[in-house]
Amino acid sequence: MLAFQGLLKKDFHISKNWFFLWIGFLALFLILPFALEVYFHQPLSFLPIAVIMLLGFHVFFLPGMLLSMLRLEGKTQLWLYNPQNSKLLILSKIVISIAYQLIAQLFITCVGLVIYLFFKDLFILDKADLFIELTTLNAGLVLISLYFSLWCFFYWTVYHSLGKYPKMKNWRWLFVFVLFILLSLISSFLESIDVLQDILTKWKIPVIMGASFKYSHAGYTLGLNTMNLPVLTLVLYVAISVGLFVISCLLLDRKVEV
Amino acid sequence: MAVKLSNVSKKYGKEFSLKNVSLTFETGKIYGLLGPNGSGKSTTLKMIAGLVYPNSGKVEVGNEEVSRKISKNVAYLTELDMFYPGFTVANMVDYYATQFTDFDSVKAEELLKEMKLEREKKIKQLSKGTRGRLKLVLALSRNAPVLLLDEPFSGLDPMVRDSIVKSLLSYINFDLQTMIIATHEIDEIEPLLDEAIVIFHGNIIGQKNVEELREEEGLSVLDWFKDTAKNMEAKMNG
Repeated sequence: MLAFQGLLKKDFHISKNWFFLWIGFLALFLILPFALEVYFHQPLSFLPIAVIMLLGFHVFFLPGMLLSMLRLEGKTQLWLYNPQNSKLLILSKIVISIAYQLIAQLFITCVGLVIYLFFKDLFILDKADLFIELTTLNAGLVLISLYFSLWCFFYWTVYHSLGKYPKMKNWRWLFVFVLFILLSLISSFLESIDVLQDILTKWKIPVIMGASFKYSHAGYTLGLNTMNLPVLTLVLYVAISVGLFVISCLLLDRKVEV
Repeated sequence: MAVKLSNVSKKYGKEFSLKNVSLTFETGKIYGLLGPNGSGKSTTLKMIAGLVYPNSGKVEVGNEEVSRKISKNVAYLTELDMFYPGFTVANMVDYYATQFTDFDSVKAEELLKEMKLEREKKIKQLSKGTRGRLKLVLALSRNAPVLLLDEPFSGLDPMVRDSIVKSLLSYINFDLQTMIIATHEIDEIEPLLDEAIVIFHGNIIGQKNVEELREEEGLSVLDWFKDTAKNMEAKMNG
């Protein structure tokens, strides 16, 4: 436990500046539309759209944060000189990145809620339990970005595993790109098989998967979109995520060299 | 804890970094791994530390085949810049203390004082030499059975080198620790060494007990190294 705390502390130290920079960027990106609204005397013309855009953009935050930490470690790869399991080494980075993402999303969600509270009359909400809906939306964003992060981690380890072959060193990015195309083609092929699709989409659960805005004379209509998520597809994505994590950790342990 | 390399080869492309090397490092001895730049010294140490894997052959520490987890038994001072930007000296020491169970924080404090390092100083503000001293603090504060030092004097001025040699002598447990120093700066470490090994283009071309070398052949390690390397070069040139 002490070792994991040490890793968390280290990963916080190496990434905190990027996080604060991101929060600064978010604040700026929210102040700008607000200032425009004040200037043009057009309340809620830009700000709600900015809030939704920024929130949605967070699916790329976790992969970005993870890759920036890995980029720093990859300079020497000496982070691997550590008796802890490689799963623990990467888990610490993921935990820190998720914490950052949750804080950033909470910040934007709070801004959204403040706007809503101040201009309640201008909003027509078609959902009764706003708290549960927003929580689901935020959790969904984190899970999607976690899935993307694990793919990024996988490609990163493949890229660095090839570093020990001098002939391939300059062409590693091409190999990773070809692998990406190949895996995408396989995925598209599997998706095109009707029988497989039928099985994967058999059982569904309703979840909030995004938000939409509509503007009319009556005001803004904030719609939190409900989607029927197929359970087996979800299980498949979890299995892919676990598989990517395990393969990447194996590559990190056995193929990535200092 | 003994370290054993059996028929170890490591290739980077077509180039051999190590070519069928077999070596045994015994407990309680200090070894000097000597050779010019690019001779395979660093690769050998990285292999023992579990950071590089051989293409063929076996590397063992104790009776355990080396994997990444061997770092629990191997303290390793790297020649690379291992520090994180934004870290203070204290951050780095505390981080090591959490990762290595054999890290002795009391010893670390003593070493920090001895090496004249301020805990709160940012590492990016330190000179290359001072960073080198911090690396030594981190490696020597561990009570690991195997201690690997890769170019420990790199960037240090002669005065500091002397004090470091003294520190090495006072902070090593000669009964339990095996120490391997890879360097091409032979003068400084000569008084420390029990055994000297010369590595050249990935081949071990000589190994001598330093005391025997001095008493029986009347040679310093540096003279012997020069002779051995010269003979090898002559052989290679035909």
